[in-house]
Amino acid sequence: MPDTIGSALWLSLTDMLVVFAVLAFLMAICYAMRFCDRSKSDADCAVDTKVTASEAPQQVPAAVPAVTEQAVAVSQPVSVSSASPVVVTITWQNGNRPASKAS
Amino acid sequence: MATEIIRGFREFSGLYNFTWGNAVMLVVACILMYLAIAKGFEPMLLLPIAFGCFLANIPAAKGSFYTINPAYVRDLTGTVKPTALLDYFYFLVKSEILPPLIFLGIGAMTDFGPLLANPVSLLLGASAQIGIFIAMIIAKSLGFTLGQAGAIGIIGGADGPTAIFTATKLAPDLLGPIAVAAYTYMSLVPLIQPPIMRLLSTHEMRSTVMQQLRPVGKLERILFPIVTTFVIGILLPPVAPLVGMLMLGNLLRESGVVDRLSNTAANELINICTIFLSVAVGASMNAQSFLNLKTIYIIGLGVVAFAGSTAGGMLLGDLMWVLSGHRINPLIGSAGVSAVPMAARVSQKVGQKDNPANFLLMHAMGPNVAGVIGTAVAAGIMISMLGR
Repeated sequence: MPDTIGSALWLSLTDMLVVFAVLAFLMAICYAMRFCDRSKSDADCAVDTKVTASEAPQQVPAAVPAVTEQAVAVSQPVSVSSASPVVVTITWQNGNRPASKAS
Repeated sequence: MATEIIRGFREFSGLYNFTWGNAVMLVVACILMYLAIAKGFEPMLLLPIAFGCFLANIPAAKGSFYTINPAYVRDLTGTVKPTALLDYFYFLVKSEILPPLIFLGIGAMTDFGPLLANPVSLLLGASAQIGIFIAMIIAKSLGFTLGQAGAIGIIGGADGPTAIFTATKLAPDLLGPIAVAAYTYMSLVPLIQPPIMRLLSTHEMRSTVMQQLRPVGKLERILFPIVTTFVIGILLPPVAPLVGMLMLGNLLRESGVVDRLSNTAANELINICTIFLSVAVGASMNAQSFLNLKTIYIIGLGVVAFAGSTAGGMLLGDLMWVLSGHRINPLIGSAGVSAVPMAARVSQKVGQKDNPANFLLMHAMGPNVAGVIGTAVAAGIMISMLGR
């Protein structure tokens, strides 16, 4: 390659285009990998959903009453205003906080 | 007798060789140390560079331990006789051993997750290489050869190991000034970039809050380094050692099965290599070889390259801000100039000044690591075309 400013210009232009092309190609690969990974995740999710749906009736409701039985009472209705900070007062029945397993 | 002893001591001690150039460089070294210690400008790099410069400019008598003689480390296949401590350090730089090892450590430290979560970042990393070409054309017009101009331009990639790697192939005689310019400007990123970033964006643009990045799956994280190594290795073999080591480091990290290797690469190995590299680079700043017109040109062109690359990233960021319906903050574009992770930190800092609720660090890491790949690609093309 001749050692001239014209060569420098040509090389710069070529180099810049190749840099964009290579990185754009890598970008396309990234999107392809994302698609593959998402398809795999979706397939996993589908399997998980089936399992959860079959097991859910025995597991989830058993935990929920534990929270509701501890009957949390809010002293006043909560109103939210963007102009002032929200203060919520929570009073536990019998003055006892529910056990940590309920949280 | 006494006079001879005094004369002998004066010549042996190096006072005899003290020049105004040494004095200037000692002052420069002290300023760099001040910036590193008092101002906290990337002290990991700047402090050893500054001290290396300090060592190299203590006037040396014959047989000094602190003088780099390039003649001793000219050729791996020829007579290789490093004679002083810093000769050995410099040998590791010049023989292309340290840059790939540093890339191995960078790979092990780098999370490619933000890049994989937002692959458009790769384009920002590409646009932030424009400074390389601007500096290259100006360098050619200033009388440098095409190879030298290309090596000088790579400073704009803000990637020290790549700049050194390219300089050893295209302009070995300019390795010292190029390495110094690259590393010094990398550590001065917090000073150079912010004015350009503010100039090329409005308050509204800088205040843009970006959505949280999606989580990236392990399969993507493992495949990316393998695929990238293959693509770049097959397209641009000259930079395969750099990119290969970068991706090996990342694969060690992401595989999750070699924690000890990954930790070693990300901590002990890169720290040791950084000490050797930085001190050797600093020690190449001795007055005799550094204070000349070519060096001043290279230092000046380094600023142009850096500024050009920052502007290139910002301009594409501005375009993306418009095209995305104000969802991409253009400040992440400036992080496309490699300098991991300093440039990303600068994006975060500038963004938070305009909007304290803005957290751009992870978003900026995408273009930041894309910039590393972009610089390596640009260097690979130059070496392929000019290194014959």
